[in-house]
Amino acid sequence: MAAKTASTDTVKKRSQIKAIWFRYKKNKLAVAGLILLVVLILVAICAPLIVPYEKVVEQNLMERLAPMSGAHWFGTDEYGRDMFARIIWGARYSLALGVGSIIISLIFGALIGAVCGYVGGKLDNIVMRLMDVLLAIPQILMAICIVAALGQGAFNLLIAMSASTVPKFVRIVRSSVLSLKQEEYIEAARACGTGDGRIIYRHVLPNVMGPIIVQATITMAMTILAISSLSFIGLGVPTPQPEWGTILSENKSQMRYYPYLCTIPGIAILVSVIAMNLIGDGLRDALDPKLKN
Amino acid sequence: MSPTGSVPLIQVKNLKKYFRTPKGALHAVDDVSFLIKQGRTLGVVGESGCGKSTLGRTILRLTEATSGEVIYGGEDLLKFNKHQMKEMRKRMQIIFQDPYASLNPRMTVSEIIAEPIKVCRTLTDKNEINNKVNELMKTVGLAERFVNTYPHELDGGRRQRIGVARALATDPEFIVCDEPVSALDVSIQAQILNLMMDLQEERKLTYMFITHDLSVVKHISDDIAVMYLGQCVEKATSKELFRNPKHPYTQALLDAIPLPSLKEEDKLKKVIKGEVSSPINPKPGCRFSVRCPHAKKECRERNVPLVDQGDGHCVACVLYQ
Repeated sequence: MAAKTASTDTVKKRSQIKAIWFRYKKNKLAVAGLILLVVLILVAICAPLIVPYEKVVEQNLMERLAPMSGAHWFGTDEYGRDMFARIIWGARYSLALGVGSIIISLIFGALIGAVCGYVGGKLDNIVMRLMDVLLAIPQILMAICIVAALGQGAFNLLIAMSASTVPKFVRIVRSSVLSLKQEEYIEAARACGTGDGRIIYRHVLPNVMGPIIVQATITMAMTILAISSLSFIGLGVPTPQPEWGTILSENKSQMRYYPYLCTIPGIAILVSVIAMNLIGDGLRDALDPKLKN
Repeated sequence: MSPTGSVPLIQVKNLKKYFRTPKGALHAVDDVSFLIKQGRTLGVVGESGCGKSTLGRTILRLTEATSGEVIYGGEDLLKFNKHQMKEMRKRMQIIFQDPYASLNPRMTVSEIIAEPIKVCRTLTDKNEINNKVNELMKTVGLAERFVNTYPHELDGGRRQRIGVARALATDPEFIVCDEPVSALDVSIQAQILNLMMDLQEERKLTYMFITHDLSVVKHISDDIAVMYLGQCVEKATSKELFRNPKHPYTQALLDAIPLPSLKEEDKLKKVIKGEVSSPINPKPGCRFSVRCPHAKKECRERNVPLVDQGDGHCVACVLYQ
């Protein structure tokens, strides 16, 4: 009887996105990571409501290197700038640069890698040799070159960071695609006349999501740290503007006597990196239907 | 003869597929010709590596042929451009051997079946597609509750049913079945075979059934072509071939079918000796001659063509020329 009633009303087709969210929800850590990231983004967006921008750049030499107090929650740096304000506003730069550069390099890397791996032949050869050239240059050096050529600034930094991470994504995606394209289900797709574009986006890319996401979350952390290195040599975010990495390197000289000046931006970076890693892990598992339970 | 069964649907003429390898040309399919009539099943048998699968893939242009013709509805498929071929693909489909590798692990059952419909745009309305998918699932005997499941959650038989449903999605007339049951348990093999035969009757399908399993081919085929190292060595109706195998290779194949008998004489089988010779730059002459018990000098001197022995029973062997 039960079977009969089940067959009369049709089983609702569940959309892919709903299914992914359903699986993602089950992973408590991943949800925690998502909440963390949302909070960070909210802080970045609402920064003007929390503390005015003047406090970020306002130098008060009378209060330089003030300890943590009610007036300055996180103390002040050697120019007497309020650290709390700098950290809050720093979220804007750090998140935008970290997340932004990953999204850009993810899109370009996945696209170039998938096309190269799938099409193969001459195109693959030419593009991959180009990527090899880019990979041969250390990421920092490459970013320095790009920033030096384009000029200092947050946007140029974004371009520099993305450009220097794209080759890694291309390599990973390409190698996964190479092993995938021999699969019979790709051939089945071709047998019903599926175009190359649709094969890449419907059949190939969803199956290489795992390694891509892992690489993306790792790169996010490295990007924020790379920006701080660039700031150290004066090619990062221009000085009065706050950015976690920049704040960290600015206060390096005070580390011995005022360790919290370095620790707090460090914790900020750590929290955002952890959030991204948790999300990345959760997403990777949620996207793979085989790990349903 | 019945009206279906007399019209030739697909005719393959001198089809060749050579793969270039570092050691030379690998003759995967070498000068194969045959004709399949509408609503009938051609069984293609041969041991692994004899080019059966390549033959099927070449006909569907999943790999490009080296030379030859595939006449379908009066036109040569191999000369079609991309656009014509896309239209054509609606009418010819393939069922794969491995139901584990042939289904995208990231798509649900309904998405897999709907994919060809979306690609070919035979239906564009979402509801219509859903209805069609449900109807197809019912046709192949998949319960509706599997709509949202993923292939890895199902057993081999059900997975192969998805493969069948996908092949049927665009209402094709011709289906290449590339060993569709050899990855399945024997009990499930029978289910899938019967399903395929029922579908053939209902939808007037034409099959090219590739297999190495002679009992399967006997069950499903109207005609049989025996392949050895890329060449067709014998062609006949199914009944005729099993009753009166002419080519020594076919005889050896039929002899190798195990019999459920304990008698001593049944245990002593003639087994062909030796190994399949290399398909790379094969020597002229009959390719089976190295292993053939009746091999003569003549066999190695010239290529042996398929000769009709009457009633459409063709053999490529010097013994019958």
